[in-house]
Amino acid sequence: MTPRNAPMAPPTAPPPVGTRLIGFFLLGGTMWIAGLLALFRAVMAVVPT
Amino acid sequence: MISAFWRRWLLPFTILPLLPATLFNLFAGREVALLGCLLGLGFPIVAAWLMRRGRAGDAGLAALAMGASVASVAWLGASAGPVAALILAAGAWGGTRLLYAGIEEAPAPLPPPTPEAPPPPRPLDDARARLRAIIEAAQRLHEPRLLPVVTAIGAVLDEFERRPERLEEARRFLGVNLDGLERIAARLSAGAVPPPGLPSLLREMEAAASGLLTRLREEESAALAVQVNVLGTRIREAGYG
Repeated sequence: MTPRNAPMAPPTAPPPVGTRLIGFFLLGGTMWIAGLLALFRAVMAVVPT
Repeated sequence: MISAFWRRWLLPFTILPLLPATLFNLFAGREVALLGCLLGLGFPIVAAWLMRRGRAGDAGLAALAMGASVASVAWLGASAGPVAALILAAGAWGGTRLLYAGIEEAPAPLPPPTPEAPPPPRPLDDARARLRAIIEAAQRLHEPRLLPVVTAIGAVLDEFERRPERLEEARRFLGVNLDGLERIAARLSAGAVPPPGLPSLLREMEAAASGLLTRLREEESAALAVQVNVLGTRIREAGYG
């Protein structure tokens, strides 16, 4: 059990919401691009041109 | 503070855009591309598990897993080549890092505590082991007359262990009493009939041990009395009394 007078980490300010939003859209956009790219390449490889 | 919902469920939902390509590759029979898509589905699950575990450094590992997911989809699933795979992987890695920046993580688990070292052996431990053997023999032989002697010798052992400077005297005492008691127990174990003089001998041994114990305590008390007298005299002589 942690004693009550144990040293604590200094309080850190949470990152701004914008940082999380950028991360969210960057991750989501990358996943969508990868998924659509894989789908597109698969379709192009199968459908005869 | 990011909520537990986003922390636990955001990463599994990121595999949704990969599902159409996975199904298409499955039906089209493109094995390598299907393997890439399946890896792309698996890594986010691992990342979600890491985030749920939440130990120190797990957010960084989860970001790497997301990057590996996108890289496998782009490289194997889409045959996009290493450059495009690296760019997309960097995007996923950076996105996850930003998304989970500054998240609280539990500290790494402490290493298991090392077992406590056994206490250092005491100088008379061998004598105690011999006393225990005599006690077991007395219980086995239904000979309770040995037990008071063993108890008295054990008390003397306790007293001697508090005075390491008198261990030689203790060894002389044990050489007579403990050895004799051991021989008696050994003969009784071998089936000997107790001679008529045995009870008086045991009483003598017990009395000797008790007498030695009393003498040791009296000597200590006398030494303390001398110290008290000397100290009192010195205090009075120094003018503090």
